[in-house]
Amino acid sequence: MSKELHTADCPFHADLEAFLPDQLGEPGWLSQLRTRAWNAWQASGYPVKGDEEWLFTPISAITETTFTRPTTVDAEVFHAGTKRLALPAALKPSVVFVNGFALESETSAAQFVQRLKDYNLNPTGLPRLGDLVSESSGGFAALNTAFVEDGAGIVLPEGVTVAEPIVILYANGGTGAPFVNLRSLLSVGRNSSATIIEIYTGGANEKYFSNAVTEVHLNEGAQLTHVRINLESNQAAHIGNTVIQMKRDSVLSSHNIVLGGKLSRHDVTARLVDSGASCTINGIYLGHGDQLLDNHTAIDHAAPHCESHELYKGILGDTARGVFNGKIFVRLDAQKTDAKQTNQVLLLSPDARINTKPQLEILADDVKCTHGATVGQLSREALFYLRSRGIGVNEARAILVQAFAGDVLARIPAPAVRAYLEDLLPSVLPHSPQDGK
Amino acid sequence: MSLLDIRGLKASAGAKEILKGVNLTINAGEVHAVMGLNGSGKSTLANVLSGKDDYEVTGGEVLFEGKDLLEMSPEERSRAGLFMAFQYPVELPGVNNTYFLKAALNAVRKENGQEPLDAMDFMKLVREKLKILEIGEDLLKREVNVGFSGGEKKRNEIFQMAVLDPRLAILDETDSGLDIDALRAVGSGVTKLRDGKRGIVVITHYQRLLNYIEPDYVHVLMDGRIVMSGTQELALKLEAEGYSWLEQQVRAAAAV
Repeated sequence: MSKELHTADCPFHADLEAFLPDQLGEPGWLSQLRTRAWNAWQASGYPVKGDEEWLFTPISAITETTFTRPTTVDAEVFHAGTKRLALPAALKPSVVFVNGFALESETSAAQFVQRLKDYNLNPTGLPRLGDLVSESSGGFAALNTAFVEDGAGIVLPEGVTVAEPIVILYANGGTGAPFVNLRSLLSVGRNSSATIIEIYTGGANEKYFSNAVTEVHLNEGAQLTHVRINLESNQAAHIGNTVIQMKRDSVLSSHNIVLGGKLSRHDVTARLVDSGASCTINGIYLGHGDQLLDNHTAIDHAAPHCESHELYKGILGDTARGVFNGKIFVRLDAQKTDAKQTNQVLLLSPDARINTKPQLEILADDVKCTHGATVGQLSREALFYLRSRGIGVNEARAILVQAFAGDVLARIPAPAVRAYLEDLLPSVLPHSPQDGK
Repeated sequence: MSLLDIRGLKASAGAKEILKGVNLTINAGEVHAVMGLNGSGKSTLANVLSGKDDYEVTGGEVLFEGKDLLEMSPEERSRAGLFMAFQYPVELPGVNNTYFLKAALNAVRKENGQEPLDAMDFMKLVREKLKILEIGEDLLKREVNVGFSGGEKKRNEIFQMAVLDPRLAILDETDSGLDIDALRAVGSGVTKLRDGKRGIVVITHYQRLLNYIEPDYVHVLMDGRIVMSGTQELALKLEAEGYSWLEQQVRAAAAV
């Protein structure tokens, strides 16, 4: 990487200077990708005021703190994160990263699970890092790419079925306001199927910035259930970019569970590039305190006879804020597209806020596209009915909030994950101001 | 001490006075019917007793086993042994019927100093009640009232009543919107829960439900007051002749 590219006042410049000497042995393509990515980051920097994509999402949680890339692995960070998660044995992680570094002691030798550090040495004939997310994928994705080093590489060949969920755990935090780059590359071969869970977590109140990128390749006829759980620290800033490319007749069932972060932003993009692909992208975001939870989804129908289903539900208490933006592009030759998008939000407090916006661009003329957004409060009639049966007001509220959220969890096809999240839910639901009265 | 003692109860919705001094005493084991035309105040009476906050009580008092009922929250009323079978049971999407019933029963048990029932004992109790009421077990797996027919909703109310085992049950127009088979099913269900100790108040427009639940007393509510009390005979007379003779009689009495 050439020296003249470094600008001293660019954020994370000093971190890059310290980081680069360790990457000298990397393959040329990766080094070039890194250079392009750093250039892009230098050019873009943080989103500026007025940027349409960040209109309702101030990033002061990132810019007002000097975050620094850690250089050592602290196993305590792993313990703090797993304590909050309380994962059952069925969801034991196959691979664990602490602030982006592999924690060897917690990594089991699972089939098809590799570390990107090894995978990147020779990905000949296989998807390459950066194929879907590179220097041109926005500032934070470029920043992530400039610092890419390790991460989870799960690459399934043709015609295999992995019945048990593969769990990737990213535990973040510790002292010194860590700046953490996390990267996953997932690829499901032709007619193969798998369930992959990505979990991002940290200690309850630690301050750090985690910047995550996941690239997902679904080949012809591949089937993937992808569950992404964000239980980052309540003081953390989390930026996530997930891009999925779907080939002919592939099926994606994606579930995005957003619980943590003072600021959490996740952009998920699905590109349906061949006919017959079908994607479900669902999500739930639960905010309390002063959390700001932003979900951006983009579904790019680039081929005919594809379908997409999208259901996001938000529950916001206290002064929490939510942002939902759902883009659906239907390109000129994507005839017979069937796309449906829904965002439903429950506001539990008069000070909670949501900005929700569907954004449809339809160029083909023979398509079915629907979208809808609802924002509401708990039903007074339903609360009264529960109370009239002896159920106290706090419990009655909890039952109704859980029923609202449970609808999204019930759609997760992997039973072990669904059961885990259903158990976790009551402990993370936002409270109403009336609670405790 | 009577089970329920309503004394001079007055209540308004907004500026409109609806109940203008209702007096009614119900003792343990008695079944009372409160009849009346639309707008007579029947539903207001039921709603005020259940604790719905859309109404303002402007006078009188209601004692439930000697305690001031109007001071109690809806959940406290339920835990004290009052049950309201609603005219329009609310649908609760995403809330499983069994879960709902268990939460309700254990809230009532806790109030009475009893341990919560565990899953096994609860299911045993629930199956027993379903059997008595001749209701299929698939009800337990469904979401509360979601997609239920009118008859199913009313039977679910009676089923909840059977599980919660209240000291006093008020059935608010439980017969409305039911066909003859559903009416028979609901009526026979209530009759099975008539055990000589429980008080039951049947609020209705028509006499037909009283063919299945024979009341000990029948009261007629008119313009916010109980204007006549009697037995089943009174209900049959109202069914045969309508309410107009009684309205004339009340007007004549008022004119004196």
